[in-house]
Amino acid sequence: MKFKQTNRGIYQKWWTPYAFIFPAFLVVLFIIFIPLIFEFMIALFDIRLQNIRLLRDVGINIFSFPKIMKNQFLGFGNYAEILKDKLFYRTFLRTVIWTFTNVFFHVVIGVWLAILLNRKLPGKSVFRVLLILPWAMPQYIAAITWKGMFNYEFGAVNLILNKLGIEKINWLGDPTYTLMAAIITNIWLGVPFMMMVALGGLQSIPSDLYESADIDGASSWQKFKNITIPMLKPVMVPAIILGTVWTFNMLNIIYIMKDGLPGDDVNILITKMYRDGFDLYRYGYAAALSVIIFIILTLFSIAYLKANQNEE
Amino acid sequence: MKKFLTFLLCFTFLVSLFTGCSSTSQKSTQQQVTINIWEQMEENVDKTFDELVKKFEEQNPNIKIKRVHYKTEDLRNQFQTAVLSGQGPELIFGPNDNIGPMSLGNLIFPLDDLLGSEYFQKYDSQVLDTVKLDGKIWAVPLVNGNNISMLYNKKLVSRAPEKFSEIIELAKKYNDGKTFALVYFLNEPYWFVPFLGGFGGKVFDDKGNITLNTPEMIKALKFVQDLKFKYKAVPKDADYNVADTLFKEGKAAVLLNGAWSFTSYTQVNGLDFDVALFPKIDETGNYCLPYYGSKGFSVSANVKDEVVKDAIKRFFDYIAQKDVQVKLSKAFAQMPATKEALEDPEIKADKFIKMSMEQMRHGVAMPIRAEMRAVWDAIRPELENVMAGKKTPEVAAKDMQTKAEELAKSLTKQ
Repeated sequence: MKFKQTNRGIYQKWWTPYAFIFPAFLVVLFIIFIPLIFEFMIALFDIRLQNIRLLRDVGINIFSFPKIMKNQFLGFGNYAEILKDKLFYRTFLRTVIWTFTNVFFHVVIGVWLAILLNRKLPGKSVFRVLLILPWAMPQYIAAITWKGMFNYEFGAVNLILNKLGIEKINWLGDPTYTLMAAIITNIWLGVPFMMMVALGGLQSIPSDLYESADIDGASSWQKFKNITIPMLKPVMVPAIILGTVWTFNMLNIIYIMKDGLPGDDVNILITKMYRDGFDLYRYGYAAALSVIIFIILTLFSIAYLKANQNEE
Repeated sequence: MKKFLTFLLCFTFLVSLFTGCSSTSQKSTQQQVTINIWEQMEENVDKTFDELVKKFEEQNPNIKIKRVHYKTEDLRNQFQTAVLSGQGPELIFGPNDNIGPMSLGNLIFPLDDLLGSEYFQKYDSQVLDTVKLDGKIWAVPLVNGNNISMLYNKKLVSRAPEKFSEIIELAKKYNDGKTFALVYFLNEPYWFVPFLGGFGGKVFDDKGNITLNTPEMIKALKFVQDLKFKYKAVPKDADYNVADTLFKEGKAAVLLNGAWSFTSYTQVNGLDFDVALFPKIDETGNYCLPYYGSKGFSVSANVKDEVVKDAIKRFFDYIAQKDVQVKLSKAFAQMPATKEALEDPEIKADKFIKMSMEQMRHGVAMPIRAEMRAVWDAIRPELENVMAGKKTPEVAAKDMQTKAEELAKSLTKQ
């Protein structure tokens, strides 16, 4: 079928779509691409407090970088320094534990609550509002509140443990428990997101699937395993990737729980990077670390997507 | 027609993107100058400062002062980022320990040439020492103090404890888990260094080498650990706010807190307290030596315009006036910085400021070299480990030395 030429106007030209994309592309160029290239560049140089003023001369013109900074060029020196340091691997391991535990509980609790909310439940809307509340609260406020609750002597958590006859725990003074406290806080914060995603997914599962399963005499576990999980997967896979990236790079909770000065015993990669960059002024080193984080997360996302595609 | 309309639409869209970028620098004939100040003053100071600024603006109609508040840690980071992007305020007001990193990064410039030696002769020499680095003056100090002293609740303890043994004695009475003999910001190195000084330790030797793994450090760590576990004189966990609240609620006999906080306790109803020197360590018989420092204004390295410099000079002249010094000193509850103001009878009559002066005589000027950052960062986690009973003082002292040297190397290597 052919349209009449006169009706098509500008839509016909090959460059028309580009014209419409162009403004958005400009925004992406300036707020994503250029900073990203800048980051990769900084990572190759030894940029620290003493020579940081040079960055001013570079300004937005990243092509002048190699010329102005030629005495600071390190190649992959920053990367080598990071990868040679045992501290990096300890921090990485902690980050993996932090991310895995968080996302695991986000998904398990989130899906479980979503299934509950998807049933006929008296006062469902009230529960739904209550369960979403953590999401509506600014993370900063939530972290400060939880920090108060984890105080050894006066915090709600220890007071309750004490009432239950369990010995008080030094949540914020002992690195292992600090990590646990941060994980608990972040689970509380992250569950509503997964719950909402899962609830959306559940509501889009056609009910006739369950009806025919009922006719076949399937148990509720069988229905969950063979209908709910496979039907939820297309929704949950992107959410899990997103959740992993967010959690991996979650600075706020640990940063706030340790008053903005988390040490090597509690740092995850992102807080270490922040402290190296902004407290110790090691910009090149911090940039290299952030590139490593970027690569780790990219590899994870690709692998995870691949694994899920293969099953299908 | 449709083609034209679409084109027009695209065009306006594009144009609208760039309109924000055009900068029309309007140089008025009056040479209106705005001095932006980023500061981290306590709430109660803001009002006094604003009033004084208003007076200054009335005297200098072409100068406007704009004040923006930051938290201490944010202040330095934000200032640095801003200066590097060619922006940022003309003046930064903060504690003198920012001077080390800021001067190392050339974010501020020394003020000797701008203000001349005559200007600085107005200032107390000991106060000036807090802003000197490599023989240059990097800030105009406004108030001096920042020392930690002892506050005691008269209802719980009749006489100011002079030695720590007296506080340990108090712990036998106040040990029900609700009332405490002693509270302070347990895991913060700034509250720990006085103990180190009491045992005769220093974080740098005379040549500037880091000296954390010393017998004095081990003794000091052992002492604060014992205060917690052996004598049960302090709560199991107390950050700044917990210590502050416990004292305000009358649940702590003794509080160790900074000169900046003294006035806030006078506003608490029914709290009968007094201030005294940071107590002595019994073993050495020496007073603990808290750090003292100043707060002052530094000038951003981005200030190049002579007109702006001139305006800043006039502001600094104003700041050095006696009545301005006295008023701000009272608002901060810290010592003023000029000789003239220090002699003022009103200042001498203030018991909190008098206390600060006395504490300074039993204190140490805080080192402001950039390596101090490495020292703080090395002490903090190890102090935490000791206070959690996870490391012995010996191991902690060794580990903090290693860490501090490592951090200092990465911080200052050329």
